[in-house]
Parts: sequence; structure tokens; C-alpha cells
Amino acid sequence: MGRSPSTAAVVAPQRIGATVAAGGRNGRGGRPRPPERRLGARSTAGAGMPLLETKLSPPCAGFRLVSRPRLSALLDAGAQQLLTLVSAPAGTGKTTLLASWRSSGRPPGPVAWLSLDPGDNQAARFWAHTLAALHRSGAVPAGSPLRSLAPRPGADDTFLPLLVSGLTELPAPVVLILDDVQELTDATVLEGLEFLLRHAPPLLRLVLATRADPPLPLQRLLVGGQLTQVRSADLAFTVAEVADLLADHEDRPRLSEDDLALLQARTEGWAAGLRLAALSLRSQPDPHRFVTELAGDDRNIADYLVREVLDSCPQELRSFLVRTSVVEELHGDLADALTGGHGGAQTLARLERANAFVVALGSRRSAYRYHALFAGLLRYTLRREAPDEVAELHRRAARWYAEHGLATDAVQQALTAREWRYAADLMAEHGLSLILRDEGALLRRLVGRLPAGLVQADPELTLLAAADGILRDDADTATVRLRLAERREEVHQDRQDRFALLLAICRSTLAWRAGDLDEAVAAGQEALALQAGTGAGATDDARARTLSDLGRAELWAGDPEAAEAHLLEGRAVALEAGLGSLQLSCTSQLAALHAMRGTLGTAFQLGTDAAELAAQRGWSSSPPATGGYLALAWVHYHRDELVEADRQLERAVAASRGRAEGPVTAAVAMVRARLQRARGDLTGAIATVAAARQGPAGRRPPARLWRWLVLTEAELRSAAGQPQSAGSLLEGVVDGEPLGAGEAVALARVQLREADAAAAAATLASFPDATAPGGLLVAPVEAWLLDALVSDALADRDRAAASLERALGLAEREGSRRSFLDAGAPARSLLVRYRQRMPSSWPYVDELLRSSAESAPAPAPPPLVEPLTERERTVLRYLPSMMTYEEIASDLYVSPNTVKSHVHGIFRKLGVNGRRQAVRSARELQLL
Amino acid sequence: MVRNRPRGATRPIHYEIVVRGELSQRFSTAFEGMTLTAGHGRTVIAGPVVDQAQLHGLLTRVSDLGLELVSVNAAREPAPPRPDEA
Amino acid sequence: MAGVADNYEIRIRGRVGDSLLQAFEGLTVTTEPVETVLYGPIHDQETLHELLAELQSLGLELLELRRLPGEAG
Repeated sequence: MGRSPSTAAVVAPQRIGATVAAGGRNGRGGRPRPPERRLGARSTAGAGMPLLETKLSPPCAGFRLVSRPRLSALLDAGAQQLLTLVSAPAGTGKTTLLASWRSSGRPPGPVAWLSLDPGDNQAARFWAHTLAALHRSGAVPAGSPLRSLAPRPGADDTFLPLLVSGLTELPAPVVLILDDVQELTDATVLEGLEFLLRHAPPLLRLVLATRADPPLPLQRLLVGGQLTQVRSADLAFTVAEVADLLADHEDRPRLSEDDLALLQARTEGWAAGLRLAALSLRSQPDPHRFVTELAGDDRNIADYLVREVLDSCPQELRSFLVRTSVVEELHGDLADALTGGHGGAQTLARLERANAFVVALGSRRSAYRYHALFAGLLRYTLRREAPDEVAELHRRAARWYAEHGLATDAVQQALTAREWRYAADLMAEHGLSLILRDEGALLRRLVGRLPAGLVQADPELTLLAAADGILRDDADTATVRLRLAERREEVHQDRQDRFALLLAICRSTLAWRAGDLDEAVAAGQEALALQAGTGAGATDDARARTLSDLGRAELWAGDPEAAEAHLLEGRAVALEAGLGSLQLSCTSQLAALHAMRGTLGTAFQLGTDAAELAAQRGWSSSPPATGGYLALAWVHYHRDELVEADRQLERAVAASRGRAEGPVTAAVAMVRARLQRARGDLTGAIATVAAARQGPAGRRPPARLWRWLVLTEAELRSAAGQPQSAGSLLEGVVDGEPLGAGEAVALARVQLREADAAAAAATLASFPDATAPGGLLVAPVEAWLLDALVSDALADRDRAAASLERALGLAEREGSRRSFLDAGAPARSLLVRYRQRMPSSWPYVDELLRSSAESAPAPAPPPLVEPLTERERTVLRYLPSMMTYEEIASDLYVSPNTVKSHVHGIFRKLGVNGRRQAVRSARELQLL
Repeated sequence: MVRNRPRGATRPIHYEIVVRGELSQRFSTAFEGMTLTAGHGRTVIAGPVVDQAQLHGLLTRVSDLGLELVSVNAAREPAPPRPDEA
Repeated sequence: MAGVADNYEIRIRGRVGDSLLQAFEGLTVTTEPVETVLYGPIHDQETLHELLAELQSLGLELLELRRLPGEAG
């Protein structure tokens, strides 16, 4: 950044004008180049949000920097501690100082830079840019977990701890400079910063530059010796430094020592004031008089000096400066759009070279910014001189941004101008993407500022307010507004498709959350059709979103084929577009789909993929990850890995917390009940399912799921020996809608348990595809096994053997044992008795028998299909002893053969083939 | 807030910020280095303020907490560093 | 706050020039020696704080602020 005085284009203000004017006449208009190359390229952070490159490096100073060793020493000392706070008003030289220190080689490690703006009041964006800054500095080595970490829009508990641990693992100190911290007002972002400070990674050095003390625990840090401060008194230029600064602008010193002192006193060492004075001094024939007049005037110094500078500009340049002050970031053709002239790029370049408070952003010099204070004063001048033009200038800026695809900036410009209608139009026109990517803050600001009457009168604005409600998880407000918004015919023709698309997306989302699956599917289909057909939301964002939403709804509504197709495509589009959150959602739902289908291997793989993706990005506790954990819990449960299943289930619960979604809640309850039952806690299982049946806050789950829960509860109660309750639950549920696969299985189980095998067979027969995939969390293994049990009870041995073999084949392939274990003694008996008929399955059968003998018994054992006789019970009591059959016979006054035949009867009825096993089984069944 | 090293340049100025409502001492952490005195439906947040950056930090805090600002007063002469009773 | 605004009196150090007057739309600006006094209605706390933030941006030193209830403007 250094520039020797002799080559500095030091030009007095009038000569600025002359130079620029000359350039301007020769300047060519030039066609605007595509935005990506002009506006400092936007890349994408992992969260699918655009990054602004210009924020990641300090603005270039337009002037040579005065060397101020005492301040550099202060910063060096600060870099030995956690936090350096540079807190001083605008124009005191904070940014300049830090930028120069950064490239001086003095900091103890690589220095990351982030210039903050109001848009950073959204945690995901703030942290995405912070990470980008760290990466840019070179401080993050290749293997670091920080490489793939990304914040997710919305609540996220795991991101900050991951960030801290990632930073703690860094091999060398890193300095992170955040400039313009006064822009941060969002509580979540500030809490995040506080978290970072509290858990101070030892090698992190944070430097906060701000215009006012931030609401962070500074006192504690001060007392703990972790805080260094640089304040305006420190930053004030001393007389000697003033001389240096002025000398830089001239070839020889023209002010006396006294004048220098006077100037220093009047400006109070304020850097911006001094530079403005320096600009003016260049064109003063009598510098001494200038300083004296300045000292004698009691006006605000900035005001005085900016006037001086502006007054000495030629009119055209003055007009340029004043009119272009309405935007934060300036580009040549944006300037032209504002002024209605041309040659803006050249003007800016020359202004920057002339040290006139124009700084170039980033290294490419296609974007510029006025120094904040200068811009503020220019804006006030504009308001004084041409108040009628202000709104029009903001509109022109908004239009330019909109044309270049910068919806956020466009809307912000419109908001600044208080052009609500125009802002809303822009939002409706261009903002669909923003809404889809959860850029809630901007939408919130817009909706918050709109007068209520205006919103009500306008369906598009009402719809935006509904979308805002959804993003804030305020379903009630959103629902009301959505209903009010349904006036498509009032919308301008060109925008009707976009309107209809957003409306459909909102309806689908709300329906899903309320558990109205039919509506979610219907609205989802409409949204997809609109998205594909008309090009209204012909963006990847819209496509990924509509596919993902529809697939999810279809899955839980019972149409897994359609769901799979949509989810697969949705996942692919999301991956392509860098929409990590949607990618996660699709993967999770696909995992759940396979879990339902019974293809446990695939479910496990997908569930693991989803969990890994979530963990990498710090999204482990967010709703899109829920399905993946559920799938994993289900697979572990089936593999009889109950501890692991519990763990995954808890993660699913944590991830879905904060947003109750009907189908998910019901599914979690189902899995939990299964786990309780597997542990022998039938009472707990019944309670879980009963509670789920009522629904959260008394809102019943959707019809299909509710019925399934009722049937499951009936089955559990029957198993617990409560046939009455089971019966009454069944009434009213069985008739009516045809049963789905899961429901048929649950019902047939109850019937079989109540020894009504014929009814069970009829139930299964009425739903011939009971064993087909697609049931709600019913593995086909269970269905085939049930069929075998029913057939066996009806003495249809051939069919029983065939179904059993089928069940075994599936179970072995998918590693699923739980179905057999849950079916308890009857299943064991089945295995024992049919074992002879399926030699190819012996190894697996034996394995199952072994584990069923080892697994925890159910407290309410099912009654034996064939109860023991009185004599058999008598003999049974002898079995635990060491007595031989001869000895038992002798004791009972019967022949040993009689004893043996009783023993065989016992073995058969208990489904065992050994004395020890008989004892164990009898104890489980509480016969002993 | 007390500075971390003695500076010759300026002495802190005593400011009193009055907000509506009576705040409990729980809020004293929000206004580090200042004393809070509640009474008559008001709270006085008083103490030494080193510069405008610190002052505006305090005023922003008032705004963030949703408190209603009633008055702000600076003692025209620099105060002794110890905060006074309101 | 329902529609009625309270009046405020704000004192800042130094004199404020013409351009800066634009920063204080809706308020009356008078100059007393060494100080500028802004006086007028401010509708809500948010507006008040925006004004204070602007003072800070412009480098104007806030000396005093007083709410004057009952003088509805």
C-alpha cells in the first residue's frame, strides 16, 4: 500500500476537477460487463449463501499512511492477548491503522479481515463470512475440521462449539479483525461472539474495530488481563504526526509550528478532519490564513471542511459526488446510472488517485466506497440542495442492483428511500430466491416497516408477510395471512405465476407442519408444476425446494415410489446448487424411506451419510437431520443394537425440537415404543403410543398415522394382557378407510394374540400386499413372519413354512433380528418346529434361537398355544434339579418312559430341545 | 469503564443517563463500570465516561434493552474518576 | 406509544453548519455559544436512537439530552 510522495497524484481540488474533466471527455461509455466480474466475484459458502469478496480485505487507503509506531506497538501488545478493542468515532483512522498493521509483518500470525455491514445481522451470514475470512488468511490447514464447517440458517446448537474446537486445534496463532462492529445489533450474532470470547481458543486473537463500545463482557476481560483498548484519545494525531500527515500531501512544509499546533487543537487530532484540511490546504495560497480562519470558526469541523472541499470543486464533479453518495458501494456504471452521465468509472478512479476520500474495495478496483463520514456529509448536502431528487436516486440505484441480480441491495435501497411499494415489488419479483434460502432478516425488515393497511390491501405483500411468518416458525400468523393472500386475480399478470408458486410453497410447508399430509402433497404437486412449467421460479433454488417438500410429504402420505423419485432428483439439484440444507433434508428422508421399505442396509448407509453431512456443517440439531437419525435408530433396533438405537433416537428428538411436525413426532413415538418393548417395558411403550395418539397440545396426528398408532396401542395392550382395552380401541378404527400395510399387520397381530387366527388371516388376506414394501415402519420381515404364525395356527403347515422361509431370507439379508425376537416364544416355537424343513437356513435359525434365548424376557408372556397338562407341569418342576429321569420317575411312582414322554411334550410345547432351555423358557413364561 | 493504562490525554467525564422504570441490580452487568440507582419510577445510570464511543455504547445498550431514555447529562467539568451517588 | 410525540432538547458541542442541518429534519436548531441546541418532537425511542447514532457518525459530541413531556408538538 505504500506510495512514495513523488509519485502520489497530489492534486488540489480544482485540479482534481480539471483532471477528471479531461478524462471524462475522452471516456467511453462502455457496455456493462456481467455482474460477477465487476462486483468482486461472489462465491458460495457452504451454507449456500453468496459471499462478498470485498468484505474480506480492507479497503485500500487512497493516501500514504503516516507511520505511527506508538500505535503499532499498542496493537502488537494487544495481539498477545485475546481481545483488542479499537473503539472510536468515525474518521479517527481505525481501519487505516489496522489495515497497515495487518500488512506490516508485525502480527503474530496470519490476519483474517472482515468488514461488517448491516446484512451481517444474520448469524448464518455472519459466520459464513467469518469462516471465509479465516480461510482467506491461510490460517486454516488442509486437514482442519473448519474446512467443511458451515452455519445453517435457523437455530443451530452445534455450530459454535465446533467452531471453537476447530479454532483450538489450529497449529499457529491467527488474528481475526472485525471492522465496523457497531453494525452488529442482532442478539444471536452478539451471543455467538460472546461465546467465542468466553471459550477463548488459546491461539485466537480477536481485534474489534467499532464506533461505540459493543455489548460484550469487556469488564470481565479487562479484569482478566485479556483486553487491550485503543480509544480516540490514543488515535488522535499528535502535532508531530500532523506534520507528517501534511508533509505527505506536499513537497515542502508550509505551516509553522504554531499553525500546526493550532490545526491539531482545532481538529483535536481527528484524522478525517486533518485529511480534509490537507485537501483544502493544497489549494490555499495563504495556508496560515486558512488555519487561522478555521481555528476561529466554531462550526463543526467536518461540516466546515467538507464544505470547503466541495466549494472548490467544479460543478459537474460536485454534482457527481453529491448524487453518488446514496449508495454504499460504487461502480462506474452505477455512478452513471445515478448521475445520468457517463465516464463514472474514470471519475472514481481519478478521485481515488487524488486522495479524495474515495477508497477502492478489494484489489481489483472495480468497486469503490466513499469514506463513511464524507458520504454522510455528502448525503446531507444532497438533501439540502436537491431534496426532490433523493427518492429518484434511490430508485435508480435499486433498479441498477435489480438488473444486476443483486436483490438484497436493491431491496435495501428501496427501504432506505422508504419506497415500500417498490421494495415489495422488488421482493416479489426478485426475492423468491432470498426467501427460499431463508434470508429471513431482509424479509423481516421489509414486513416490519410496511404499514398494515398497505399490506392488507395487497395480496403480494400479504403473501410476503405469510412467508415471513413461516420463516419465524409462527404458524398461526402465517396461516391467517396465507388465507388472506389467496387473491391471485388481483396480482399483476406478469407476476401471477411467481405469486402462485410462492403461495403453493407456503401452503405446502404449513400443511406439512400441521400434519395435513394430503394438503401438503396437493400443494407440493402444484408448486412443482408451477416451477417446472412456466419458468416463474426457474432457478435451482425453487426446483430443489419444491422437489424436496413434495417428496417428503409423499413419503409420509404413503406414496414411496413417487417420493423416491422426487427426493432423489431434489437431492441432486440441491447438491449442484450448493444448497446444503436441502441436500441434507432429501438424504434424511431417503434414509427414512428405505427404513420403511425394509431395505435396512441402504437405510443405514443413507442415514450415516445424512448424519455426517449434518455433523460437518454443524447442523446436527436442526430439523432436516431428523429423518436420518430416525432411520438409523430403526436399523439399529432391528439389528438388536438397542443402546445405539437409543442414541440415534435421542438425536432425532433433539433435531426436531422446536418445530413439531406431525408425521415425524408420530414416527419418533413408534420407534421409542418399540425400544421400550424390547427392553420389557410394556407399560412405558403403551404410555408412549397413547401420548402420541393424543398428539402434542391435543392436536391429533394425521388420520393415517393416528390409526396406525391406535392399532399399535391395541396390540401392546393385548400383549400386556388387557384384551378389553385392546378391543375397545379397535372398535371404530377397523371399519371405514381401507387399511394400509402397517395397520393391517398391527391389527392381525392383535387378532392372533386373542387367538382369533381366522380373523387375522382374513385381515392379511384383505390386504394382500401386507408383505409388500411401503408400509409405515413395518419391515416386510414382520409381515412374512406374521403370515407364517397365522398359517401355523390354522394348521396350514406348507404355507407357514414358505412364509417363514421368506421371512428368514429377508431377515438374514438385512441383518434384522428384532422381528423374531419381538414375536417371542411363538416365533421361537415356530423356528424349532419348522427347522427341519429348511436346512439351508439352519445357521441363521440357530443364531436366532441363541439370541432369543439370551434376550430380555417380556414381563407378560404370551400364553402357550398349547398349554401344559397337569402331569407335564409336575414333571417340569423337577427339571431344574440334577435328578435323572429315572430318579424323577421313581419319585412320581411312574415309569421312566412316562417321564420321558412328558418331557417331550414339554419340549414341544415350549419350543425347546433341551432340559436347560426348557427351564429357562418355563421361567420366562412364569411357569416356574 | 476503567482504562487499562493511565493516559494523560483526557479525564473521564461524569455522565448521568436516566431511563424510565426502576431497574434491579441485575442490570448492572449490562452497564459495566456504572452505578444504577432506582427510585421514583426512574433509574439513574451514572459514572465516568471516557469518550463518545463509550457513551454511545451505553446508549445502544439502553436501546437494546428496550428502555425509554429520559435524559442524558454530562458534568461540564471533568469529574473525579470515582463515580458519585446520584 | 400512541400517536403523540414527546419533545426533546438535545445539546451538542460546537456549531452545526447548513449541510448538517439536514440531519435534524423536523427539529429546531439554535446555537448558543459553543453549543448547538436541537429541539422538537421525536416520535419513538427507535427514532431517538437513530438520531443519536447519526450524531455519533458525524462526530458530534453529545452533551445533554432531555425529554420534555406534556409539551406535545
